[in-house]
Formats: sequence, structure tokens, C-alpha cells
Amino acid sequence: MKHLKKILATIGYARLLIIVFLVAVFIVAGRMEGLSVQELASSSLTRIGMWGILVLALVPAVQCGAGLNFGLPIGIVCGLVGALMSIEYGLNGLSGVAGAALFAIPFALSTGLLFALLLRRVRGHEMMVGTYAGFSIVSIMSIFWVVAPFKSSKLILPMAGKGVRPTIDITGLYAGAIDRIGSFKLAGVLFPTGVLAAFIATAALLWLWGRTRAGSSMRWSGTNPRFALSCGVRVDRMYILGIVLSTILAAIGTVMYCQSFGRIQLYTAPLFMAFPAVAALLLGGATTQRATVAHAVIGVILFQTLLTIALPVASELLQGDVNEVTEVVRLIVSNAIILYALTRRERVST
Amino acid sequence: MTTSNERPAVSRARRTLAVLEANVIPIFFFAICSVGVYYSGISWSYIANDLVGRLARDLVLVLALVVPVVAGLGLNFAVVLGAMAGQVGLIVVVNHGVHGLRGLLIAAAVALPIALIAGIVTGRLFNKARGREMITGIVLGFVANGIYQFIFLFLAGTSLIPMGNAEMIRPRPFPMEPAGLRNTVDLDPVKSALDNIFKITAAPAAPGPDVSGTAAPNAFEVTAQFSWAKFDLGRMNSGESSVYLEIPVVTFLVVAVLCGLILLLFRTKLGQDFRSIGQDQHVAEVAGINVNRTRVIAICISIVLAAIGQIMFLQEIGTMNTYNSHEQVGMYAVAALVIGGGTVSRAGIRHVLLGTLLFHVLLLVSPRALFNIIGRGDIAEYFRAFVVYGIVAVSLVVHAWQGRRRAKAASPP
Repeated sequence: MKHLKKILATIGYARLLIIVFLVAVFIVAGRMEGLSVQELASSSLTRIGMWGILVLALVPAVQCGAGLNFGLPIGIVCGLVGALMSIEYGLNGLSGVAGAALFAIPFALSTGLLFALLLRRVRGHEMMVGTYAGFSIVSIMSIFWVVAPFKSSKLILPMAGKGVRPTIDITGLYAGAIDRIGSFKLAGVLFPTGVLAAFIATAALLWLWGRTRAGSSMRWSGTNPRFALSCGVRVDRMYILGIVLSTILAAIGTVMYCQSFGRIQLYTAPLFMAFPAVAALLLGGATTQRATVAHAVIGVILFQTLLTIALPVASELLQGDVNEVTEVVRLIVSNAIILYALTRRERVST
Repeated sequence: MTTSNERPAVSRARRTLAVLEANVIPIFFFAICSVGVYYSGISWSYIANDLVGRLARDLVLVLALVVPVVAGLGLNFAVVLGAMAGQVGLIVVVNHGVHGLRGLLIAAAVALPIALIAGIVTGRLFNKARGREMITGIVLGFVANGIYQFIFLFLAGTSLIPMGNAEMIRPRPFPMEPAGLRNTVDLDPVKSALDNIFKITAAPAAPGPDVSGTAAPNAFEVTAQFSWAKFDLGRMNSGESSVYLEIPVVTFLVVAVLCGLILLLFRTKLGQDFRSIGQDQHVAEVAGINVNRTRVIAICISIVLAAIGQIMFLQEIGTMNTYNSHEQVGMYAVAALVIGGGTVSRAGIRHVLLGTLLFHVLLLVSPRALFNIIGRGDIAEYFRAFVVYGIVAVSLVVHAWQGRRRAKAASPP
């Protein structure tokens, strides 16, 4: 009995409640006609893979002491540039995805560096500045997409002859390239092993890195800068490292997202993409001061499964259009989670 | 021996520089607007007329931001909740088909309790999220927006929230029943209800029948239009192209009264409490001010003003985008305040007036100006977004910078 209590305490009562809710929704969904549990499960798995690395990207930022990285759109935009360049150079399939990631990394590195230098000057206000820096970058990039020198016919607006399309369908190109690797169907549920494996692999790498000297230094710089300083760690450098890493992971995560989604969405689409990712991380048990890879993994699994399964059920109950219900409930749930985290009194490290 | 009351010998140049530095953003925007006006080729009379309308409808929304800034709560992005309260009021009024000024007053009356509740909830949440009020405001705005959409997309018009006016409900594809409010709701019953009470119009005068081709060019007549009568105030001649101007006097009167009330507020004890909290919460607490309660009051004032502002905004435009009208209210109002020289820690009526003016001039001229300069017409909306986000980002960075500089200067080396 005591052992059981200990396990329950580790999982956390809030999380337990959510898991119970999830199971309940699963059961209700199974009972409702017009909803296939297998489809819902497949959707959940795909979405976990889709968002996985994006949520992981938030972890280094929290760990190095910058709080929740609402400036994720900066890294996302770099990923989009990489994705477009991959198409421009006619890369398909796996090489398309690899190319996109490789093209994106230098952009993410440089912009991440600049972003880190900016955030370093505004310590304590990173969340607000990050949010608005992200918005500004997305807006500048929107202008850029209009005048961008891309030439590939798949990217350019057909009428104008110049300027990138708002949404680029990549189903023929490299959509699902990673998803499909080793994917199998079991009991009617489609397991997109490729993207899930990529997610788990990235999570594992990030966790391992957190145990290396560099990674540990960064984590200590975030939680206890004085101690880190006294150990000879260059706290400033670790801060920059965390943000740059976050931006690079966001770029790679975006490439994963696009290939899983089957579409590349430009212009104002990335504006609010940080919020579901932050909500997922928080749901996994992270706070504005502390986040681990485990938080990210658990969080994204819970969050995406919860929304993917509960929303069709909700829209059936409300007699509403699934897409609308999805959008609205997602808006409420993800932001309510963030709101809850923001209004909790926390020990603020000096 | 010099007394300590003597003003330190700061040179004139130093002082001018200080003034310039404090007002960098408005000056910068003035320059951009001038460039924009020049390149857009839009006539002054058109700008003037358009501005009058925009100012009349937006000033109160920006005004709503002043009190929280002074009270140390930063830029109150949660004004969105007030805007939504105002919209609920208008929805009720249109649903019952109440016309004219009465409709507006009832809308305000309905919106008031909702705004107060929203204000109390927001204030309490801000008290829990001390130091992070702004980001909390943004996220709270999203949550509230979601709840609003939930109510009006799915529940309105159904048996849960019956609505008498069937025209407001959306039809939906079979087999779903009509439910949810339409995307655009015509506010015909109350359209321009406030504006029309008393308008001063300057319009091109039609030449009289007895004047044979000798009518003075560009003559325009000024009339005072009341909702019950129309009086001629005279004729004037303008050297320029034709003048067309419509000034909704009562609307501006309401704005002026609200500005006056805010100024009065800052002379009361409550207003002084706001300032004290804004300067130093700890000192204020020690001085006996109930900091938590005062902060909630500041937010309530802000959100109620936002509700009134949104009602004024919508009565001028005449149609309500049920799901979009309020979305950008927070971000646009904050941008306007910042452009006028307001910051996270300092905001006054002058910033509201100057900022709204400059912001709207820029919004008005930038599409044409960009088209004339670059030759692309589709950049305008992204340029607008970039201005809105960029200027607030700059202001936030400067504020954080200054805060850290001050902290460094205060702490011992």
C-alpha cells in the first residue's frame, strides 16, 4: 500500500486525473458510433510524432534559465526556410527531409545566437520579449515570403509569378517520408514508427546530453547560477547555449511537423505555434523554472492524445462542426494550462 | 554658499537631448508617417476625414490602458475581455431589436456587469502572477476568446441559449440545425447611434440654380446635423481640392469626458494609490494601501473602459465581426499607446492621443505608400502586423534594459 502511494505521488495527482480522464474519454469514444477508436489512436500517435521534437525544443531553454521559450516561432521559421530550400533544390523523400533539416540548421544557429544575445539583455522578461520577438520575426518573414527569390513552380504563386504560396502541399515530395519508415498496422491502429522513433531518439539524445559535462553545466546554470559559477562554469555561455539549442531543435521539429502534416504553412501560421508546445510541456509536469526531457515526453503524449481523442467526442456531443470545435477547445485547453502555470507561485531563483 | 534648492546646471542641449531620448519612438513614427503620407499621394482632406472617424472609435480603447500602466501592472493585454463584454452587450441589444441611443445605453448596461466580473477575475489572476502580468494578460485573452467562441459558436441559438432574432443565427449544412452566431452581425439598429446625435459636416456645396457657371470652385458648406434637424452654419471656400469632413461631436465629447474623468481620478486618493503602487509596491503596502485590492480596481476600470470603447468602436463601423472584432484589440491598442510614447511603466493621456493619431495615419497611408514604393500590394497587411508587433517588442526590450540598468546601478558593485 505504501509502495502504491509512493508511485502515485511520483506520477502526480493532477497527471493521474488526466490519465483517468483520458481512459474515460477512450471508453466513451468507443461507445459512440461514427467514431473509430483505431482511427483516433492512429491520429494520436501521428500527432505525438508531429509535435514531439517541438516540445523537446523547449526543454533546453527552461533548463538554462530562460523560462518558457515563447520565441519558438523564430526557430520554426528557420525550419520553414530549410523546408522550402529543400523543395527548391528538388530533393524528395528521405533526402528531402534530411536536406530540409540540414539547410535549416545554419539559419537556426545564427538567429538563435542573436535571439540569445537579446534575451541575455532582458533577463527576467524573457517570456514577454520572446513572445513579441517571435511575432515580429514571423511578420518580417511574411514580408520575405512575398518577395522571396524562390523559383520552383511548386512554391511560387501561380498567378503572380513571384512570392511563395501560403500553403505548400508536399504529399508528392517528402511528406510522410519519415512517418512511413517501418510503420505498421496493429489491431487496426497505424503506428508511424519512423517519426515516433525519431522523437524517442531525439529525446534520448537530449537526455544523454543533459548528463554530459556540457549538459549538466547548462542545467546547473539554470537552477543555481551561483553554484555553477563557483564550479567554474561560464553561466553566460550556458545561457546562450540553451537558447541556441532550443532554436535548432525547433527548426528540426518544424521539419518533422511539416513532413508529418503533409503541408508547409507559411505567413502567419507560425505565430501562435509556441503555445500548444508550451502547454504540452507544462502538462507533463514542467514549470517555468524547471523542465526535464521526461516532462516533455509525457506532456506531449498526454496533451496530443487528450485533444485528439476528446475533440471528436466533444463535437458529437455539441452537435457542432468538428473543425470548429477542435479549434476552439484546443485554444481554451492549451492556454488554460499555460495560464495555470503562470499563476502559480514559484520559488524565483535569483 | 549655494543652497540645495538651486537647479543643477544642466545645459539646454542636455535637456533637449533628454527630451528627445524619452520620445524617440513618437518622433521616429512621425518621420515614418511623413514619408508614408508623401509617398501615398493621399490628399490631406481625405486623411483628415478618415482620421476623425478612426480617432472617434479607437481613443477609448487605448485610454483603457492608462490606469494599469500607472498602477504598475504593465500593458494590460486583457482589455480583450472588456471588448468581448461590450460585444455581448451589443449582441443582446441587436437580438431584441432595440434602436438608437437607447440601444447603446442598454448595451453598455449589459456589458458593465460582465466587464466588472471579468475585471475582478483578471485582477485576481494578475495578483497571483505578480511580475508576469503582461504575458498572463495575453494568455488570459486567448482563454477568454476561446470561451467566448465556445459560447457563441456552439451554444447561442440552441436550446441552451435561445435567441429571438433568427437572422443572427448561422444556417449549417444538413443534418445540423442552425446554431451559433453569424460571422458578421449587422448592427443596423444602433449603427452610428452615438455619432448621429450631433454631427458637424463640411461637404462640397452644390452650386445654386441661379449661379450660371460662376460658382466659386471648391466651395463647401458646413452644417450642424442633429438627429432631429439640420442647421446651416455657413459657407467657406477652400483653396484645395474638395473637402469632406464629418465630425461626430457627441462621440468626441464622450471621449473628452472619459479623459477628464481619468485625469480627475489621478487627483483622488485612489489615483494616488495607483501611482504609489506603480512606483513601489512594497512601500505602498507599508504605507497602508491594500495593494491587491487596488490592483484589482485598476484592472476593473481598464476593462470597463475597454467595453465602452468597443461599443463606441462598433457603433461607428456598423457591423460586428463576431469572432474577429475583438481579437486584435489588445495588440493594436497597446501598439498605439507605445507609438505615442507610452511604456510599460509610464502612460498618460498625451500618449493616448498622439499614439492613436500616429498609428492610424500610418495604417491609413502605408498600403498605398508601399505600393508606390515597392510595387507590391500584398505586403501591406504584413507590414501592418510587423509595425504592431515590432514596436511593442522594441518597447519591451527598452523597458527591460532600463530596469536592469537601474538595478545594476542601485546594487553595490
